[in-house]
Amino acid sequence: MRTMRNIQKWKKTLAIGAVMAMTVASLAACSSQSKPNAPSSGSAPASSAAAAAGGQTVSYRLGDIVNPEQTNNFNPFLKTGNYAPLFDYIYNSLYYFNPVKGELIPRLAADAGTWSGDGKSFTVKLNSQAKWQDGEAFTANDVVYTFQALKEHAALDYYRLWGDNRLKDVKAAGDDTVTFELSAPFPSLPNYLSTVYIVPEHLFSKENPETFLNKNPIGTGAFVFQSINESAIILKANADYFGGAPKIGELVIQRFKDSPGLTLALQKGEIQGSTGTLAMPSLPKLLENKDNKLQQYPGLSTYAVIINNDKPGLKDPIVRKAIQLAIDKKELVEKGEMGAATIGNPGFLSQGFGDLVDQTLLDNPDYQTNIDKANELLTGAGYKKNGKGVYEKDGVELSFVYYTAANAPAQNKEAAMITDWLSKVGIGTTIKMATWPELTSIAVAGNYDLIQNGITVPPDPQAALEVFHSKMTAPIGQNTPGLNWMRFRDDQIDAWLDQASTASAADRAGLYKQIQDRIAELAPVAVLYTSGKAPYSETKFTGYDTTVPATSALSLSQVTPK
Amino acid sequence: MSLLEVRDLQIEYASARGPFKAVDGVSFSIERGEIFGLAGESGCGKSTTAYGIARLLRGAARIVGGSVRMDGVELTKLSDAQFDAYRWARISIVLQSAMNNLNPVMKIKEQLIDAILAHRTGISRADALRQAGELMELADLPKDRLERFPHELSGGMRQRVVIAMALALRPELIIMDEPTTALDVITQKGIIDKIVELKRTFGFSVLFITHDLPLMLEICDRVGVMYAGRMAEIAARERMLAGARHPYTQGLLRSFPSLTGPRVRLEGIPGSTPDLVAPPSGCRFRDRCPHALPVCGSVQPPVQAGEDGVVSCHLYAKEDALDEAAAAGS
Amino acid sequence: MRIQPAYVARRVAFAAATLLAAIVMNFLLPRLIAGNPAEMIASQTALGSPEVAEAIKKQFGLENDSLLYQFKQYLVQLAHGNLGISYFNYPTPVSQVLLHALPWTLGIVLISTLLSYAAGWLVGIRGALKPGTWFDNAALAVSFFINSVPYFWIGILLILLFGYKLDWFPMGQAFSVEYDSLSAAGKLRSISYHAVLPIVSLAIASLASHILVLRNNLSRALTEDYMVLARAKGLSSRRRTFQYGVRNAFLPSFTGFMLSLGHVVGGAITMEIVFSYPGIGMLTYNAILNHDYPLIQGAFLMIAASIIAVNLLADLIYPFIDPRVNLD
Repeated sequence: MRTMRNIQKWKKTLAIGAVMAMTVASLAACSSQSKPNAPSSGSAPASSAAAAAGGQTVSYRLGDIVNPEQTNNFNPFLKTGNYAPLFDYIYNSLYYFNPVKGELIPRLAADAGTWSGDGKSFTVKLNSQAKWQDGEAFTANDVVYTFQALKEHAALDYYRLWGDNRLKDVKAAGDDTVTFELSAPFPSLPNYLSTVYIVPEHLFSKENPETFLNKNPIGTGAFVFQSINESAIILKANADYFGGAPKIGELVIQRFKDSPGLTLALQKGEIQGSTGTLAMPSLPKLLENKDNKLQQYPGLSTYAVIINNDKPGLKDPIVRKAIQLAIDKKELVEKGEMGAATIGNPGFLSQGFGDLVDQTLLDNPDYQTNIDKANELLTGAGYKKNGKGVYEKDGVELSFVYYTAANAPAQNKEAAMITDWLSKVGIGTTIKMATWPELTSIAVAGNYDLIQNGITVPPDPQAALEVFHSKMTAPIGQNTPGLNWMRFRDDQIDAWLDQASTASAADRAGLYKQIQDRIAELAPVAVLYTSGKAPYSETKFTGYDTTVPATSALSLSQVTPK
Repeated sequence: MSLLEVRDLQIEYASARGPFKAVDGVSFSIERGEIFGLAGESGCGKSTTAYGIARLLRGAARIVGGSVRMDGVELTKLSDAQFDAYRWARISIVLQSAMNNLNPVMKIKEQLIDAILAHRTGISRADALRQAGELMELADLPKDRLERFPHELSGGMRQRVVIAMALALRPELIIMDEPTTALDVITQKGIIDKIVELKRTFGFSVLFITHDLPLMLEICDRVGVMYAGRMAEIAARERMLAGARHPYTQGLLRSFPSLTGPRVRLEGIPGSTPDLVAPPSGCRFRDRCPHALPVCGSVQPPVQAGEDGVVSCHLYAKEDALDEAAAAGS
Repeated sequence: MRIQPAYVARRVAFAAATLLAAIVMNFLLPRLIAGNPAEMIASQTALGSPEVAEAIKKQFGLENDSLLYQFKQYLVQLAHGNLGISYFNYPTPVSQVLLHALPWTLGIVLISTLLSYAAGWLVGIRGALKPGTWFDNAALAVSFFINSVPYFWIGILLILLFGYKLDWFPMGQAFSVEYDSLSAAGKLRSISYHAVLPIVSLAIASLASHILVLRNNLSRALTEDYMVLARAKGLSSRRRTFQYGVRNAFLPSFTGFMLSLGHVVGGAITMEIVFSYPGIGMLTYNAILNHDYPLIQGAFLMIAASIIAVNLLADLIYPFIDPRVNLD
């Protein structure tokens, strides 16, 4: 009796476990069903084109880290709740900013657009080949609707295109032309147009763009959304794509939670590319296979030692110069980033901006690493080393708290290298770790001395340099309205930037060079490197377009199976 | 034929310092319906002997020699499965009351019937429960205690339950190891009386183990006194009361005060028990014996059986020595 | 039965009070993390202006900075079973976000907990019954080694060996990429196939303590007098082991088991990261990093409620397992 009951107890536990497993598995199966997997009518059958011999769909697998909170909506208007790189494959903007070359490539625009004489009006001819993936025609109405939505919903207008002295009106002229009316000259407009994906008016107009989840996204891009589940986002080729139907039948974005898992899958060949995520320490092993490549381009993220210019000691430009000179950027990139990053320009502007970058600064001996020179500058300015081997003047000790990212081995390695160099120039540091969001938060509030972090700028050189404009900053303790976390203020740079905001292209180039020179001189940050990479594999596919990021929509729509 | 015959039983323990014989050649017999007491100091081997007979020795101990016969059947040669039939049905035990005799998480009724259910195949649970009720009555326990857990009963009641439990299958031999040691004297008396009463009713034999000699002399028909793994003396109660033969027994008897009678000077036995890993040669008691002879140090004393008992001592080594002594009235 | 209504009432009241405290703590804790999520989002976009920040604040209901106001909102919503809307999963309600991830966590963590305890108990019982044998020693040595090693190492090792080198099991995710086009049976197969390595890794990582506690308690119980009596009764060795031995030795293991059950809902974040597996752990972690107050609150509340509920259950069950427990 009791004996049986006890044995039953154990067996029951295991049995309950098994039953629960089945129940849970089916529950999970049902709940993941709740994601839409039936594409809207019309797009599915036609998109199964580009089948390889034998009628099998050729599937290209991309990998990336996609968290659950990034799959709540497919609304390109929203900055949260979605996985941004996805939009590149489904939607198009008027222009595509190519981070490899720093150029604007017309997509839904048919040309580079024309400015009016007074610079207050910009007219764009539209791509008449483009079509919505549900068969509807793409017209100027869609463009007008998209920008009007930004006007009516300020929360969506992240770059304040409708702000003062900017957009006044957007008008359609016929089906294939759109004119942007400005209150004042705004030469950066085309760059900003690249940040806005055009959405179908016929689907969005009946919804509130701020809350519309857009679970069945319809775009004009090379790939059509098919389905999503916890393991992957599945896109099918768009046979009617205006750029020519992709040669792969299916694009699968496999979802990972961390980069080592992704890199292992890449190594094994389970995925053929990544949109940028990679576990750098595994890079050498990955590249042992000659078919695996790592495309590198400057990109829009500049990693630097961000200096709080308002703090005692760091106020002094000589000290900031010493920091700048202490760091050996070449060695940093080699040892910290495995050579897979672009050495940063002391003038801050990323190489991705092409001709606008002052290349002379890179080789200028004034900005090359030189520990002795740094020491000379400091002693020359009256700093004396105290008992701890740290420079001191007028009671201010050059001893600072140095923040770096937690759980980021490459960052931590670089932090160790940098603080080591700083100690050689008599600058003492205490390293503290914080999560990426925390780093941003203290940077924004100004509660730091030195932070090793990246500053990601919009695809606009004006905006990139306005990172150093005093209007973008705030006193320590208050959140900055923009990216000037450094609390840097220089009237000269302010004046040049204000001038450049309405200047002609030629004048801008000159002004930007001057600004970069001054930035290099005053060293509000110590630039390290810029980072943009696309790992891809040529084992199964070939034909990647490396003039653009190799795993972007433009390239993958060309790729063919071997 | 005796119910139980133990001949030259030897039980060995493996210990860190080497093996030693906790029971080194012990012989005695128990008759039907008799209460046989096994007395001695702590560590003399009395419990080990009892457990050895009931095949309840723990891992480190084994029977390495001798024989145990019950009704003529050699128990040591039975397989485990065959011996299981003897368990509880023919030999049951009652353990010391201070310890966790009863399973704390089982109701009294369950513990009473599980042996019944294990042995009497085919019996229904209802019948088994009825029998449990009868057992409670036998032990003078109220039936509502069946639904209780052991911790809800007093020490005395628990011991009565254990005794009732031991009777469940009407065994022929009940081994009782210090059954009343931890109880107060009043409760003790009640339990002892109950045991005697039950024995009279059911006619089982008892192997009663205790270090409390006076108690033993009250209840037992015959007593065996062990010392250092060997049987020193076996004698009937009256014989013991009249005056034991073995010097050790005499010493023991002198150690216990009497409630009645004149005050006498208490004498202990000087010295302590020998180390059994390396036991002394000859008689193990010689170092503490007031009557030790030179021969005691080298030769193991022979076992002399007489009409009214058995003694293992050189003082009685001569043939017929015992009978002579009996005749002499000593 | 034997349990007084007063006992039940007291335990339920205690559980309710704890839950209330948890609700208040849940509300306060995320707000102690410095940083206003709306401002964070605004600053992260290069030219985030005060207007954009204001608009986002309104969107999230953060216009009124007063803690009391926000707390009142929170209580009112909670009373309606509304856990609020997640900031970073906007506009998905928190309850939906949690419910979506919950089955995965329950599946993997619950099953591995059950398996781990069951296996640990069986090995522990065997070890107590036959101590010092090669099985006992090997089981203890291996399980302790695995226990001392960081979990992610075990996980990665399993992936490398069975996923990468041998290709017996998938290297991660909850199911295969082709999931949506599989039949119901195919789906079940895919899920089970992908669940093997995560479950095994979690189960073996914590095996050691489960084995040890029961083994040692059982060893002790086996020396008790009632075990001798049980043997003397000629009861079957199975009955003696389980009804007499394990039933007594089991009590601490039961407590440990119930505690673990309560924590199942918290997920296993390391497992989720290593195996790219969906679940509550990573959800909560990201919510904290993102300052997603409603989601943090919702997740913590769920975990707290689960632990309180399971503890209450344990309290109510315990008197049945151990009759010696004083019910006052």
